[in-house]
Order: sequence, then C-alpha cells, then structure tokens
Amino acid sequence: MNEDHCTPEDLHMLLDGALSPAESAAARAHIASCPGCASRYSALRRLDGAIRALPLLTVSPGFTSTVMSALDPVMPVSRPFRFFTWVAFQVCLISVLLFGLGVCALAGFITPGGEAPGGIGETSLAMLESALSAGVSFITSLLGNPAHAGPYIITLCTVLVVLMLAPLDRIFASKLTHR
Amino acid sequence: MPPVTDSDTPVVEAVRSGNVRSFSLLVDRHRDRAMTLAVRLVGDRLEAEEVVQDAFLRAFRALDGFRGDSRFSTWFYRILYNACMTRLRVSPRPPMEELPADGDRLPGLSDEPGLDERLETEEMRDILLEEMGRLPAAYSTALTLLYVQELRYEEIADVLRIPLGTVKTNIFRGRDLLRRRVLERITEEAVSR
Repeated sequence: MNEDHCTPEDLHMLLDGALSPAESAAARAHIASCPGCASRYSALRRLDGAIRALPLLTVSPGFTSTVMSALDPVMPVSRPFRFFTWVAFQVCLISVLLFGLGVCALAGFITPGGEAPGGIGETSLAMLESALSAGVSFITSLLGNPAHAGPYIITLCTVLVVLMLAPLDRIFASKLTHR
Repeated sequence: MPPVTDSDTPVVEAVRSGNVRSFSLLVDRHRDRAMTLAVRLVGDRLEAEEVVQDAFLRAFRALDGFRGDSRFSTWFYRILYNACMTRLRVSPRPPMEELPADGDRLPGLSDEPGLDERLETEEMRDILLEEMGRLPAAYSTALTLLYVQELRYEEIADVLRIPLGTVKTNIFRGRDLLRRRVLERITEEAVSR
C-alpha cells in the first residue's frame, strides 16, 4: 500500500475483504484520517451496495420440476439399493447356472467326475470343463441320492446369504438418507 | 486438501447416497444465480435457461466425481461457465465491447459530491442493470461471479481458469468502468431534463 494514500486496488480489495487483517487495519486507519481516500472509498461502497441490490434474473416457473423430471433418464450418481431386486437377481443367476449345468449333463457334453480333456493348449477351456463336471457331479448326486442333498443345500444357501449380505451397508445407508 | 463444507455439503451427500430428490434443493438454491450468470454470458434468456438446465443435469451426472475440495457452488458454476462457453461456440452472441488495452488506466474514482448518492435510488437500478450487461464479457463475468455467486477472488480464478491477477484486474476495471458509465448516464439525463 502507498504510504500516503490507498491505491485504487487497495480500496477495491478492502471492499471485497481480500486484504490481510493487517493490511485491512492499516487501510481503515488511513481512510479514517484522509478525507480524499475516505471519499473514494465511500463512492466505491455506494456502487457496491447498488450492485448488490440488483435483482437476480429468475428462471421460468416449473424450472425445478423440469430439471428433476429430466433426471430420470440420466444415470443417477449412485442408485439406491433395492433389496428384493438384488435377491431376485441372485436367484435368477443361480437358476440359470443350475439350468445350464443340467442341460450340459443331459446333452452328454460333460460326464460326472469326468477327466478334463487334454489338449492343444486350451487350458482355460479345460479348467472350465473341469468346473462344469464338478457341478454336474453335484447335480447327479443331488438327484441320485437325496440323502446327500443337505450339505449341498446348506452350501448353496450360505453362498446366497453371503452374496446378499455383501451390500448391507448400502441398504442401511440408503434407508437412512430416505428418512 | 481438506474437504470444504458449507450448507450445500449435506445435500450433496444425501444425493450421492441415493436420495435423488434432494437434488431439487440444490436446483432451488442455485437456479436464479445460475440464470443471472448465464444470461450475462449467453445474452438470450431462453438460451440461458436451456444452458442452466443442461448444467444442472451435467452436475448431477458428475456429482459422484465431486471431490469436495471446493464448495459445491464453485464446482457447479465452473460446469455452468463451461456450458455457456460451449453454447457460445455453437451460437455466438453479437460481438461485445472489447476489453480496454492493458496500458489504459481508467480514470480514478470521482469524488464529485452528490453524484454517487443517486446510484442508490430506485430509478438508477435499471440503468445499472443495463450497463452491467453492456460491460465487456470478462468484466461482467468476473463481477457477476463476485456479486451474484458470491465467490472469492481465488474461486473466481478457479471457475474461469485464469490467473488471480487477471481476476483482480477484471473486477477493479469492471467496477470502475461500470461506475463511470452509470454516472455519465445520470449526468446526461440530468442535462436533458
């Protein structure tokens, strides 16, 4: 700041609260004792007050509703978790897998407990077929000897429960925010 | 950087947690300020409203990426400013007044007694509004962000992606030019009566 008078920049920054506390105090002290700077600062404050008093331009009535209805097709930031949708999805997924295994078994593609085909470097295919044959073993043992079904059903239920419980934090968070 | 919190923060968190309806609170809070900025940038009211709507939709889509290291309003007005600039590239408004050359210093603040008092009168409001719209876009935008959006210098620099020094220059010169023009109009009207 100029030792004698406040610069125009100082006055603008004082008005906008952009000076440091020390600079602000010095400027105010100077203004208090200098009629010229006081007059310029006063002029600036009047302009400031007049600009602040200007009305805002308003949007059309129903603007907020229009925006909110336009949000629907937009992907929300994070969709609220739907518990029953999640359960239905899990049930469908398991059903499709079991159905697929059953079809494979009926079509004779895979034999229960069968060896993985050797092969021409198709390791991933071999692994897939091993997994499928293990699944078919499960189905056939389930169908062939219902007495063994208990452990399998328990395992299946455990997997389902784990899958369903995994997003519980989201379920609760969502309910809290909907209060 | 520590998160910046204000009254928008809990609303933003609610929307991010899935309470989409809360977004209407943010729209209600910022729509008129947004509209004021958009009209000053784009010029046409109808186009400005479309741009504001588009900016809110963009903000909603991007809200998950809002890190909270600035106020929501600063972040949103940057989106709005970019939306206005995009619109202006597609349909430019009529050429506005150029910025004065860097070397041109505006005259100092007048201390003519009685003249400035008239700025506060009701009849001068329209003149002030009109002259605000006629300012060079850089001045008008900086002043609008300062007065309407109530952003600090640093936040304005952040929104406009310009140096802090340029923000100060645009605000100081814009204010001086606005004041000079309004006072000229007042003087002209007084003479013509």
